[in-house]
Amino acid sequence: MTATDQRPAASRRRRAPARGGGSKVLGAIVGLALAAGAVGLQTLGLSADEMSMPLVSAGDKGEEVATGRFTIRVDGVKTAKSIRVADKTAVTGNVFLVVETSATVPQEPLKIRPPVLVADDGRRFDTTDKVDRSKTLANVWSQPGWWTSGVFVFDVPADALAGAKASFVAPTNAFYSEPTLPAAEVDLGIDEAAAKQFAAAPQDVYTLGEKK
Amino acid sequence: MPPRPPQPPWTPPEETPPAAAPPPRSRRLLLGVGAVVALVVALGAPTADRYLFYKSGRPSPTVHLAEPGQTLTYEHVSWKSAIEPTTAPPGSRHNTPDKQWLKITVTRSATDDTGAVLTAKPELKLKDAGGRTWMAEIYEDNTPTEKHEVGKEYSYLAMAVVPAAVGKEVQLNLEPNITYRMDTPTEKLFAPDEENLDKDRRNDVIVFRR
Repeated sequence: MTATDQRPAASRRRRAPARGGGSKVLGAIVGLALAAGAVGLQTLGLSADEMSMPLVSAGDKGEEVATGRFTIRVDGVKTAKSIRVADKTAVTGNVFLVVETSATVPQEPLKIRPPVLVADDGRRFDTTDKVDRSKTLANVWSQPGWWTSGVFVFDVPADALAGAKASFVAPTNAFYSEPTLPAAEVDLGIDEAAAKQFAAAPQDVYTLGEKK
Repeated sequence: MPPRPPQPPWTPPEETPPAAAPPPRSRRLLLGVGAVVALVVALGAPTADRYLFYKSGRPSPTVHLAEPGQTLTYEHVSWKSAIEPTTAPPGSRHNTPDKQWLKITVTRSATDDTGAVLTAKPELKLKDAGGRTWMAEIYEDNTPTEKHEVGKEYSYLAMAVVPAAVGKEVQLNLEPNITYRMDTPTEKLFAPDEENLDKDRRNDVIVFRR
């Protein structure tokens, strides 16, 4: 853009002598303005931090949110006081937020990376380690042609629920990082009223690994 | 990687020295071409640089085709495979009629002493004509942990599930590990392997046609 803008300025300066001193000044001003514009445009370029941020596809609960590499659908959101996996029960003083998720891929099979819960005020939460990762959707291959369902569990304070989003970033090679990884950000659809309801009346026990 | 900010603005004027009485049309043409070249280079150079870096970690696959039922020898090991349809194991999450279970038998045998120590498990995938890929998980493996016997056949049994519509068409893609030697001393496991640098950069796939 800046390169093509330069062209008229250059040719105007060449033609200047024929039209006298006034257009020489004009040419200088235009040249300076173009140079300043070009320098100014550089500030719009992405910084290294911004380049490493994911390329986000956004959607709501119940919608299929497609990125180039995987498609995510949040089927339901529940809260619980405890999570039962096989014969073990995990408890929390906060609240367990269970995100029931389905995933599929267009081409290459992958295992969905556990999402990050982004609260309305910007706080970010990883999935809880109180629930064995192998019982979550992160342990199952998502493959082309069908949906694979599973859950992700967060252990969060009740005030993080309202307006929370789950952010799924594509898995990547640890040695060769990629710029702008695809990501899906799903609004969990918890408004103030629902958040109150979720916080006030969580399920006593949510049992994992029953339905397939 | 930090992006290289493009620096185009000064290129075109430099390419057109102020001649005494240049024919205006050709100079304008030169300016235009210069501007276009500068723009292409400014956008293309960082893009190409990033793409090359990306590719350095993900080399394009080199495909070795094996005809149906044939044995293919690559890097001191002979490979053979068979795919047969099977039924879903009880309690599986994929037991609907739109899915086809496949049992895959992969047979390997070392052709020489080097092949006898290249004992790493290969990675098995199934691919349809459109490039969609499914994982095959090895569930049985009768390879010994020590050195293989030259010429003796060992086998892996794997299971995979694919959509029923492509069950007869998917081809086994086998990615052999051509650098891991089981006789590497433990203290050298993480040392850079000078001899095998080229092989490390390869991405070989043996495709068994059906």
